[in-house]
Amino acid sequence: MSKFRSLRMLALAGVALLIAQGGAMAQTVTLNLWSELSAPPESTVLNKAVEMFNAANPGIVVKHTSFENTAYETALRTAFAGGTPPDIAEVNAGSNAFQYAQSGQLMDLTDFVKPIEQKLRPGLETMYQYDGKSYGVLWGLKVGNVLYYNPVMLKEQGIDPASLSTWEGFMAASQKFLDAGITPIAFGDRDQWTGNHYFNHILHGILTKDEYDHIGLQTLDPSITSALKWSDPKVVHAWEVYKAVADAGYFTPGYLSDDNDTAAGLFFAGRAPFYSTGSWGVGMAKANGAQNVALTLFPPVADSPEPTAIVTNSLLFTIPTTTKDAEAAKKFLEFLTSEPVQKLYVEENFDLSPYQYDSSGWTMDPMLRQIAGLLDNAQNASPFLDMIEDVKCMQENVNEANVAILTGDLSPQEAGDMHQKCVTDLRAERGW
Amino acid sequence: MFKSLPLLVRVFAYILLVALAASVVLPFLWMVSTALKTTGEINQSPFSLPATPNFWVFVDAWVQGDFTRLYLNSLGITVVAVAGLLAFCSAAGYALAHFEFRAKEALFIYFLAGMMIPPQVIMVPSFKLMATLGLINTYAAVILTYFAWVPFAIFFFRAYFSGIPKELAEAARVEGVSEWNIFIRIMLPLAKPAMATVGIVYFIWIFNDFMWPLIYLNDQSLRTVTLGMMAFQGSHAALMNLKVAALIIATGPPLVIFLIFRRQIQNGLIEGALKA
Amino acid sequence: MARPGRTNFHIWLLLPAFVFYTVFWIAPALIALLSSFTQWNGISLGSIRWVGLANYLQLFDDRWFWNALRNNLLFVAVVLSSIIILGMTYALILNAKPRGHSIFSTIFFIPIVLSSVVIGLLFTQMLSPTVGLVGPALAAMGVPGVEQHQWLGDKSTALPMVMLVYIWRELGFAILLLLAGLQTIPNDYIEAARIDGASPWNITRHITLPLMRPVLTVVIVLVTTNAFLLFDLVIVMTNGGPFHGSEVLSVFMYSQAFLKGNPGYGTAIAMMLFVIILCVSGLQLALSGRGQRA
Repeated sequence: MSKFRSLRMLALAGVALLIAQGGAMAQTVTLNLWSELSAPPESTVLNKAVEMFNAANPGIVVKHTSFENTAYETALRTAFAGGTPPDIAEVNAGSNAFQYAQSGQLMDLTDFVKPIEQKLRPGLETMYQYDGKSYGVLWGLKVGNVLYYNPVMLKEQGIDPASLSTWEGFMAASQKFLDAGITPIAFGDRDQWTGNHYFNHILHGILTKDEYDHIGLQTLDPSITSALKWSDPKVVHAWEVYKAVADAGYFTPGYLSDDNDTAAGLFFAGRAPFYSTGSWGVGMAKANGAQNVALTLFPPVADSPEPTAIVTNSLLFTIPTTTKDAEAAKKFLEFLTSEPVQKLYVEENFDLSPYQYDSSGWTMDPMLRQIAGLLDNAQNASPFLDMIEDVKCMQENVNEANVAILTGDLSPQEAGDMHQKCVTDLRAERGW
Repeated sequence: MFKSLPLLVRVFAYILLVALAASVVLPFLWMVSTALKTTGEINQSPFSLPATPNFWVFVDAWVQGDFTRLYLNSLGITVVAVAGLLAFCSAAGYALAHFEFRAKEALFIYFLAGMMIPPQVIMVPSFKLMATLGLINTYAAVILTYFAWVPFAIFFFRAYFSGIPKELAEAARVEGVSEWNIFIRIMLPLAKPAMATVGIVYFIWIFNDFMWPLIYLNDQSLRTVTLGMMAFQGSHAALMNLKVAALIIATGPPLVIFLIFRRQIQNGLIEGALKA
Repeated sequence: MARPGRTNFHIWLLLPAFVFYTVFWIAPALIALLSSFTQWNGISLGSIRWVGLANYLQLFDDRWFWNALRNNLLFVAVVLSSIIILGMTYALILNAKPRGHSIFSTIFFIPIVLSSVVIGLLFTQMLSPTVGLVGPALAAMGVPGVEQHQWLGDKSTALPMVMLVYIWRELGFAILLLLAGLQTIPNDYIEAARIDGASPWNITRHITLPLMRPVLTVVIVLVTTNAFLLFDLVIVMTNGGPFHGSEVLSVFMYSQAFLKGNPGYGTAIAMMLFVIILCVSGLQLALSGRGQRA
């Protein structure tokens, strides 16, 4: 090699290096990430994950903007409608995500998600698959049908916590408390979703997974039909069971006027022995410094076909079609599902992971471990009903109806008939 | 004058006065007492007084809620918005009161019509407008929206300027004073009481507004007092004393400022709108 | 030598307010008006379908629209008459300058400063049968059967409670305006009448009230407009419940547009609300104008 040639090579290499560097600088892409995780610990965990990702990927800067929960839906919808969505968007898995997918706003991520699916707990795909395509990756997993109880109060009344494994046992324990002058179940239905969850868990206990999934999804997916009708006695029975709890006087006296926070406060303060909410109750107990809290699966009704089944929900990270850089966004999504991030999520967040990593070495709250055990033990998992049903039918006939049943404005049969009418009309209107 | 009334009327009048005053004061006393109690005491009885008042609760709530930041945000937004509104609306009110031009009445009605539009209805189109302008998550988005809250201010200023004789401006014009100087040097100084009233009323409205900051200011560092206080309520569900302490922190300072300026508001109203 | 009206100076005075108001208030409202003739999912512009008057026609068949309208009218009627009667009573009392009148008026004005969100939270807490104060207090005073009453969770009391809190909040402002009005009435009129032997009632009836007419008109129109637009307080206190029990038009609109994914229908409701307010305040102004001329 001549001197000249080697000099020329050196010069070229230098130029190439400069170009490469300049290129790298030009390639630094800022991705806007929007989420409704605005309150600690959830926001803290996501912000940490973003920091970790930015440090490990010099070419990409993810900028997280968190929204207050109630404002998020408005903000995201308007941003989509205005054609200015973020580059990565967190949405509620299920029907909420499907709406955006259906209107062509989300990227089809089917091929990208395939390898990630390998490590996912089975049965959770329904949360992000719409019309055979996948639209995002799950972040965190919440279990819905959990019953929290106060072990000290149970002991005082001589009630064996094991008796709470059946609906009859739960009701008998409630009656015992009532007889002792203590209103047993902390419940506040002002914002309607709490009553929705009670009905959801009771109904879920009565139906098989297929029946449950189909009766909801028939309003979202033209290809799915349901043999079961909302007006059938089997379904109406769920409303009757729910109404019976109220009629027996088991709900705390503010059950129609208190919000869920107030009801939770009654339980955490030791004023009522029972409170039903999802796995997030573990974190709430910690934040409120509550001492005497234990949990069990929300008791399934008698003759439940799948008494160990679980109701879950999760958040979905999606990529809007207008994203600045799809490959960079995918990189971030994949990072969110990686073991260190999921470990961080579980350890700091009092929550579970949708992915099957070996968590035996993770620091977890004992109650959370117990919920993880319920999950491992479950025959199957289904999403919440409000994730798999059309928002209008759901809002009117579960959210509003569960209040109307408590006030006596609707009988269980009327609620079922109205619900069926909404579903039938909706399918007819869309020509399904 | 009050003494000349029959005894029965006077007694009845005092009963009314005390009842209304109690309905205002008692909730505040309950708030303060609840904040100072322990959660255990709160659960036992809503009436009992705190055994050992815990004044640190206010410090805890202030720090945990980051109220320094919230107050700076709220004050910044409110001051800029109110200053702008006073400038535009005093000018518009003066024009509507003292100048003759075509479509004057129609324009006045146009300005008033906005009072009847439910703000929730313009939420989505406004959000889109701000998104198009790239102003989401900036103070400009809320401030520009507040700049559009002109109806009450224009209504008030127009009424106020109507009470000022037109001869005043005429005399100045004869002496060759420019229109601009008539407005700045003669009219605005006369309108000071109206400025004070409109300024304080708008200050309260804007400081307390919840909806626009909720949809435009999503970044936690941009939040206003009302917004931050709401978030605080949700994240401290069972800690009633902290929740109530945050309520007090969110209402206390504006209340004190208001009480100091109460005279000005009252005088402004007396000399202002009602002259018309 | 320019006379007002021959220069263009007024245009410059009006321009800033006009521009901000038009761009950031009226233009969005017009877009909303257009969207009330459409049906869409609120997400993609591609889903917009022009449906003409369908949304408006649907309103007439919607029992919850009539329910919200009824609640709204009831709310305005009760709140307006209470605020006018109570406001006038308190203003007259304070105007007579009883001992401590300045402290009383200061206290009465306090609720004006508080945001409706804070007020809503405060009263929701106080009215709650589990963590509140009102039930136990009434029970301690010997009122039977109220200790566990759900003031905000019972159809017969939810809307009245919101009314009560609303009146509590707005009364101070009304008193302030009316008191200011009373103080503009020249004392000589009243003195002269008193010397002529007129009773306090007759003075109020024949001198004070007629002179107060312009102020009263302002208060009536302001209270009516604000009461029709009631939103925050309901959302915080009852969320429109229980089962539509305290749902007013703006809350109904919000639930249709944002919770049930039907923004076109929601804006149609808002437009009806706008028309109703326009008619009612127009009527009030016309009546007061006619009264003045008579």
